[in-house]
Amino acid sequence: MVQNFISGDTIELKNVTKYGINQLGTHLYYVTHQKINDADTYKMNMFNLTKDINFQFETSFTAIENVKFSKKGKQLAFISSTDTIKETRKFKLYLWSINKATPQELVSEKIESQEQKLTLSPKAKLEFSLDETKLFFGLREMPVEEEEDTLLKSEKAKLDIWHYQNKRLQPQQLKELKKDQNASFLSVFHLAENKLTQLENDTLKVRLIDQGNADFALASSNESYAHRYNWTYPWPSDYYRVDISSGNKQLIKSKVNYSEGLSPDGAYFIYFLSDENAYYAVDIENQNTFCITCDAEESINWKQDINGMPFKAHSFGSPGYITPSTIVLYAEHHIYQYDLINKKLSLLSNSTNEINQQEFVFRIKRLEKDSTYIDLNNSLVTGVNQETMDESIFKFINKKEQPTLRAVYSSNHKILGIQKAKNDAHLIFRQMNVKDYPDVYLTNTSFEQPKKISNANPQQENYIWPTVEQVTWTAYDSTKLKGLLYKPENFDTTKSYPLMVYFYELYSDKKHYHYIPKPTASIIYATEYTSAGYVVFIPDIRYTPGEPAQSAYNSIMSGTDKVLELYPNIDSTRMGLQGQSWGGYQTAQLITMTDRYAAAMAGAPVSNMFSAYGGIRWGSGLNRAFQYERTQSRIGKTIWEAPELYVKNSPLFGVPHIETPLLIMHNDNDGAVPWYQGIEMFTAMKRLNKPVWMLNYNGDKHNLMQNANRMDLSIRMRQFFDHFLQGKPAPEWLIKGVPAIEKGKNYGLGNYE
Amino acid sequence: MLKILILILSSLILTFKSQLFAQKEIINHTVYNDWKSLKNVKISPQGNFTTYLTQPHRGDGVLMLFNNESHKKHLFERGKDAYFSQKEDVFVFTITPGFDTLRSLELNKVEKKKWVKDTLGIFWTAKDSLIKEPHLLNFKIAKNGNHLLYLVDRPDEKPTQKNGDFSRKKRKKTRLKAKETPWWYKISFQVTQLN
Repeated sequence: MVQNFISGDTIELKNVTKYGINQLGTHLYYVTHQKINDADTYKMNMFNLTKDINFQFETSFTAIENVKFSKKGKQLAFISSTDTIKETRKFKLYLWSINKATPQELVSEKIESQEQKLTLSPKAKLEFSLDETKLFFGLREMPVEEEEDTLLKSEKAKLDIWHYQNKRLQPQQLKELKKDQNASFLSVFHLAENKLTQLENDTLKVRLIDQGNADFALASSNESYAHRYNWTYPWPSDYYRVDISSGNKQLIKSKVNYSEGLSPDGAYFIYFLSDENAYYAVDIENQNTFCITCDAEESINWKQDINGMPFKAHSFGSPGYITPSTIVLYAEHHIYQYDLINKKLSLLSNSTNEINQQEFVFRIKRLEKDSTYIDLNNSLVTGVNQETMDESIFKFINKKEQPTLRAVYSSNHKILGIQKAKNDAHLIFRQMNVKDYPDVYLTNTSFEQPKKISNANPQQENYIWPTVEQVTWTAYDSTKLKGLLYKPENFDTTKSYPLMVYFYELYSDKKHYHYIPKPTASIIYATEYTSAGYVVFIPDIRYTPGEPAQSAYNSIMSGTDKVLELYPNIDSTRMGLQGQSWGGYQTAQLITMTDRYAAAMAGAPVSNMFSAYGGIRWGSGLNRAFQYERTQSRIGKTIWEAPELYVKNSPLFGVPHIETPLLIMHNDNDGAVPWYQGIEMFTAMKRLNKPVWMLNYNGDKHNLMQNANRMDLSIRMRQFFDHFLQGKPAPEWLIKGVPAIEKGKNYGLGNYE
Repeated sequence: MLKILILILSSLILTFKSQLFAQKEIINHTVYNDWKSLKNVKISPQGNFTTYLTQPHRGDGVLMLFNNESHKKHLFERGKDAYFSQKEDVFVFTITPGFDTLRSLELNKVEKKKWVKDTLGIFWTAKDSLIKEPHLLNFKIAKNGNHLLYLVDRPDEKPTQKNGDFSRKKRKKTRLKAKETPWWYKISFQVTQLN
């Protein structure tokens, strides 16, 4: 079997179905299988590798479902059954200490809890606390045998019943069926006390802290709020602290929108109040709530930029704790630490370097992640200059008295994939910009002499590649805006160029992103289009609540003006629009407001906000109303409160004004925007005799998932824009389409390969 | 004189540059398949090696093992999912049968059970020696210690009658059993086909 690999013992174990080794590398478990009288039987085995001894547990099981070594590797837990009937199978929980010859039964098949009879869930997570004193597992209700009937399939009705008092709509319940069927209540077994405690129940979800070591855990319930999830945002919860030993729950605070959870020892609970732009802490033992950030400078912004979405903004969050009572908090630019005992907030991202710190966004990059706590000795800080998007790496110095940052590396790139060797100072990272593929660099934790050690795409130099520049301008409503402009590297100011305008919310922070040529899931890539002789412009869009259409017009049109002013050799009669999803909606909307663009492609566009409001996001089963009332669609009102806003912002009602040929992609398995939205747009334009095409990639999703479909869309989009903006001949599908009778045989692409 | 020289030089560069651009090609869908992405980029626990997979959009990738000190490179065709042993004396990975092989099996409607399986690649970093184990289902390597486990499904072997039977093969000592590698277990599992 092995000819030239000879280094010691080889052990072959037969009939094995499952196996694993502990982290110490001292013990392995394996499950063996045998058919006895046509029935599957399984045995659990433990092999001591240091002593070369094998132990087999004598009990034969009908199933061994879940096996887990503790992280330190001294304990093994498994869930197994001796029941023969699969449907009603009940399981036991075993513990096998690695120094013992046999496992011990911890939990038997039946558990009498307060009211219910529960049993072990074979599907739930099985996990030891890091300190190996506790074992966490799931309990579920007793499986019951389903009664068989004698009816034919055709004799049974098949339906879903939608009830207005259901918390989740039927489509969401059906989407989450598997999850519901496997639902279980997190419970814990205290190994020293030999005691079982149930932590979760029907309405409480529990999250462990400090890798399961803490005496407490965080519990939350959305019982009182879940029925409104389809039209509200954010989604609040009530928070409790659970005593891991007794299972007792103590209410910390109800109706919290943004929780930062418990401190690692469970003493404090942190939450964010958007209205006050402030973090609060609850000292749970003393029932004392206090503001963490109220004494901080008012200029510090803890809230994320939600760009005109009509909901209460969330915060930048916390990356974790430095000590059990020192939490790290992110603000818009800086990193702060807060001492919960001395109630003191201080800046962590003080820099010794001569940089304008307000231009930077600083964030912590941990070099190890095994610990519960952030170790500043073992962390870097990344700083991104918001003007240039260039990135710098900082190290902490003077950690004890006053942590201060010292820059160790700066680059006109975006940095990613920082990874330190576990037991050594070597470090690798990747960096990219429009020209440089994110290749791998080798250095050390001080970023000394980084050396590039990969060259993924040497062929790139044979192709015309883009350059990128930041464009800034003032929109019609006086808002200052940014955008990215991509030109071919051989851009010639004496030649005429067509312009492609692509957009999706804010994009200018992606200045250093590298895009390799690849089949598209939905959008155009500047790499390919600049190479083919286009200039590509990506303006940021700034929104006013209730006015998504006017906001897009205000940003995109004024940005186009600026680009034409900067580069008069761009041909204003050869400009195209392209967007996907929310960007697809903006594209469809914009061509009802202007005839400035000669061609447009809209992927998965909402065309009618009235019908979309009542629609379903089929991927999750949620009703779409919350998007219009609270999130991305930014109307901020219901269809009854402000029908005029729904009319004004729906492309469908502006179709008579359209002068631009439109290509739509909307796929029949779209889980985000129902494909009826694309159909409404298509049928309206056809009804009014406007040039429109729609691509429906059968069974594919919101963004294309199938490679063959991506390849097809890439070709068709180029053909479409090349025809309308570069004057190339139109392919057959564009001239007259492809009849269904020829589907799959004739793609109508003409001479394309 | 100096000025003239500079002028000539820069005009030479200009001509050269425009010629270069003239030769450069335009990107379209025919180039997608050749473009590569780097995946599974990883530095070894003791910092002596870096590994990454160079994967073209279509076709087979090449697994790189880069020595961080000597900068020596080892390339493994069709390799993927690489792991280091704790002491980095061993670098293990999966070798796939290859894009064209798997594609032709699917094209010829060969039953999935009968498809060629992956192969395990075991590379000894100090000795530059590669061992291959065919019929691989999966493998695991301990975070600490010197153990590699892998599950194979050999088509010519039948399940044994005895539950949990295991056999042991003592092997001759060789140069690979050097002092820095006190001992090494290679444990392979024979798996049974379950319904």
